[in-house]
Amino acid sequence: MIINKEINGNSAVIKPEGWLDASSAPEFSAALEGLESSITELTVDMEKLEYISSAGLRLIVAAHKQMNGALTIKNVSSEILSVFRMTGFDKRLNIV
Amino acid sequence: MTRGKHLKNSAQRRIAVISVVLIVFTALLMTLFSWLYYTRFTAESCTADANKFRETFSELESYIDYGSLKPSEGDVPKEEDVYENFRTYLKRLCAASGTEYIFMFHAKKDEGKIRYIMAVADDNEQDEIVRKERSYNTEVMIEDYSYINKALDGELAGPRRVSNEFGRVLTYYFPVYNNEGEITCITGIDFNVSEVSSRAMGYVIRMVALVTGVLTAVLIMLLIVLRKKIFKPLRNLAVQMNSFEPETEHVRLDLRSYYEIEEINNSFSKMSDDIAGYIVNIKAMEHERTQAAAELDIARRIQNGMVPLKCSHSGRGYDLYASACPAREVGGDFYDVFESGGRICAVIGDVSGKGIAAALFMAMAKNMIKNRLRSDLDPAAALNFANNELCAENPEGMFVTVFALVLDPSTGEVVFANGGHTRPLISGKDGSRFLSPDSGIALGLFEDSHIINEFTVLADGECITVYTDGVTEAVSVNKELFGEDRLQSEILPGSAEETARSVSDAVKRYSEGCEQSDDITLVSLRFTRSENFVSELLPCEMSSLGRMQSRLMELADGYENKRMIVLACEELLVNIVTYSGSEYIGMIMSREDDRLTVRFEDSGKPFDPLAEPPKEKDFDDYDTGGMGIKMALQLSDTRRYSYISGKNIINMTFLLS
Repeated sequence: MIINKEINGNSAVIKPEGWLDASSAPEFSAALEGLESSITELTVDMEKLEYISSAGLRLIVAAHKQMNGALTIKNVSSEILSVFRMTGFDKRLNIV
Repeated sequence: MTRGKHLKNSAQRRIAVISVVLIVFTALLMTLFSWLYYTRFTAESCTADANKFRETFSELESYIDYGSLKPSEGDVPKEEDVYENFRTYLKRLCAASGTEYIFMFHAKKDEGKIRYIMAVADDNEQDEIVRKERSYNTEVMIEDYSYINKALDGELAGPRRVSNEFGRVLTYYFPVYNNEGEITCITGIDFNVSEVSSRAMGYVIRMVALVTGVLTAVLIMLLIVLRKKIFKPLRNLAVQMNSFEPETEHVRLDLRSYYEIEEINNSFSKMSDDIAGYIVNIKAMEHERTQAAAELDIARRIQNGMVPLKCSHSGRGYDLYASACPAREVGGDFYDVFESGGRICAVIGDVSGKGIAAALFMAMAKNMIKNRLRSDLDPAAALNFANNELCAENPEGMFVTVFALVLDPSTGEVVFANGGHTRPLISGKDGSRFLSPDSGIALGLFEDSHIINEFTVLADGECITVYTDGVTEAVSVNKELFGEDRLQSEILPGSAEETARSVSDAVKRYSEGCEQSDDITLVSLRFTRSENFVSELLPCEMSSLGRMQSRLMELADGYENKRMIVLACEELLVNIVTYSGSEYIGMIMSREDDRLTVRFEDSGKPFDPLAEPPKEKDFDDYDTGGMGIKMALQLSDTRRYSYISGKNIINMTFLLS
C-alpha cells in the first residue's frame, strides 16, 4: 500500500491509500513508528483508503495511544465508518 | 354307492346265500346217498328172494315137470289142460312168493329173441293180459341178451332192471332142467320194486326234510345272533361314524357286542376325541395365523406410510432419489430425506427382525432421529440421542443400524455419522470409491454409543449412495451374494435417480428367479456445484490472504458490501494463520445469487471462534486485537463451527447487497 506522510511542525498527516489489512499493516505500523517524537498531533486522512480490517484498527488504536489522544481521522468513507461503528471506535475517535 | 350294491356286498347276504347253498347241497348229497343205498339194498334183498324162489321152484319141479314143456310148433304144448294146470300152479307160486310176474320161455344162446311158454301175474287183471299177450310161442326180441345167455349157462342171472308196460321191476332168470339134466327152458321172475322205491323215496324225503329243517333252523339262529351281536352294532357304528361332527361332543355307543367290535367302538371313541382335540388346536392356529396376517398388514401399512416406495427431490446444488423395495415379509428398513436450514439430510436404517415389532421400532427410531437432526443438523448427536432413547425403552432388545448424513449443497460438504451400518459408496464421472466411516455401533444395544461425526467433501457431480444390506446381500440363484465389488462395478454416473436405478436394477437382475429375502432400500444424493464456486487449498500463512481476498472480490463482484465480506473472511483467516498451527487452510467459496458461502477447514488446534465472543476491552487495549472475530460474526448471516476428524471447520454465509 502507499502511505503518504505530510509533516507540519509538530503535527503530521498520514494518507494511506488502498487496503489496510493484515498483510499491509506492518507497513502502516512502520510509518507510525517512523514519526518523530516531536510530533504530538496526528491526522489520518482516509480519503483514499478502500479497506480496513482489524489489523488496521489495532494500529489506529496504537496511534491514538501514541499521540495521547491527539488523533484525528478525516475523509472516512461510509464503508469504513461502518467498520468503526461496528467496533464502537466512532465514539472514541475524533472523526471529522 | 347305492343301497342295492350295499346289500349285494353285505356279509349278511353272503352268509345267507352260502347257507342256502350249503343246505341245498347237503339235501342233494343226502338224497343221492340214500338213493344209492336203497337201490343196492333193494337189489340185494331181491336177489336173496330170487335165490329162495329158485330153490322153491326146484322143489316144485320134482312134482311138476315144467321141463317137459318143450317148444313145439303148435299153439299150445301138450294137452291144454296140462298147460293150464301148470299155469295155475305157477300162478299160485307167484302169489305165494310175492313176485309180480313169472314167465317161462325157450331161448337159445345169442339168439336175440325168446319164445314164451307161459307167463303169469300175481294180479288177476294183469294175469289176463299176460295170458293173451305172452301166450305160448309168443316171440319177443330182447336187446340185452347177456342175462339170458348167463341163465343158459346154468346161473341165476339178474337183477335186470326193466321198466315196461308192466311197471318197474327187477328181473331174474334161471334155467329149468329136464330129467336128463338138460336145460329145456328159462324161468324169469319179476319183483315189483315200484312200491319199495316209493317207500324208500318217502323215507329219503322225510330224512332230507328233517336234516334240512334242522340245518336251516341252526343257520337262522346263527344269522340272528350275528345280526344282533355283530351286524347291528357295526351298522350303528357306521351310522355314528357317518354323522361324525367334530364340533359336538362324542358319546360312546353302548353296543353290548363282542370284544372285537367293542375294540372298534373304543378306537372310534378315541379317534373322535383326538379329532375334536385337533380341531380345537387347528382353530387356535388358524386364529393365530389370521392375527399374524392382520399384524403383518398393519406393519406393512406402517412401513409404507413412513417409507414411500420412491422419493425424488432436487434443489439448488443437489438432487436425490430414494427407493424402497420391501420384501414379502415386512422388514424394518427405512430411509428419510428432508431439507433443514438449507442443508439436505438423508438417513437410512435397517431394524433387526421383521414384523410389527420391527415396524414400530423403526417408526420410533426414524422419528427420534428426524426430530433431532432437523433441529441440530448434527448426525452424531441425533444418533446418540436416538440410541439413548431406544436403549431406555427397548424391552425386546431390538436394534437398528443407521447411517445419517447432512449435505451442504453450497459446498458439497457431507457430515455423516454411522451407527453400525453398511458403508456408503461415492460415485462420479471418474469412478467410485467407498467411504470408510467409523463403524460405530447399532442403536438400541448399548448406552453411550459414542457415535462420532465425520465428513467428506463431494466434488462436482459426485453422488453419495447409502443403502441397506439388502443390496449387498442380495442372493443370486447360485446362492452367491451381490457384494460390494459388484456394487462398485455396476453403479453408473449420472443423476441421483440414474445412479440409484443403476444399483437397484443391477440387484434385480442379479437376484432374478429368487425370492427377495430382505428389503432393498437405497438413497442417492448428488452434489452439483454452482457456477460461482472456488475451492482453494492455501498454505497457512499471511501470504494466502491476498489470494483469498482476490477470489472473494471476483465472486462478489458487483456487490457493494463485498469488502465487508472480505473483512470478515480476513479476520477468520488471520485468526487461523496466527493461532491454529495448521499446515494448510482449505477454502471453499461459493455464490448463489445473493448468498455467499465460505468454508474454512484447518487441521490445527481445536478452536471454536463462535463459542464465546471476546470480552469487551478498554478502547486503548484494542491495539492487541480482539475485535476481528467479533466483526466477522457480526458481518455474517449464518455461521457454524464444527470440529470433526481433527479438523476445525467454519462455515459462514453472507448476504450480498
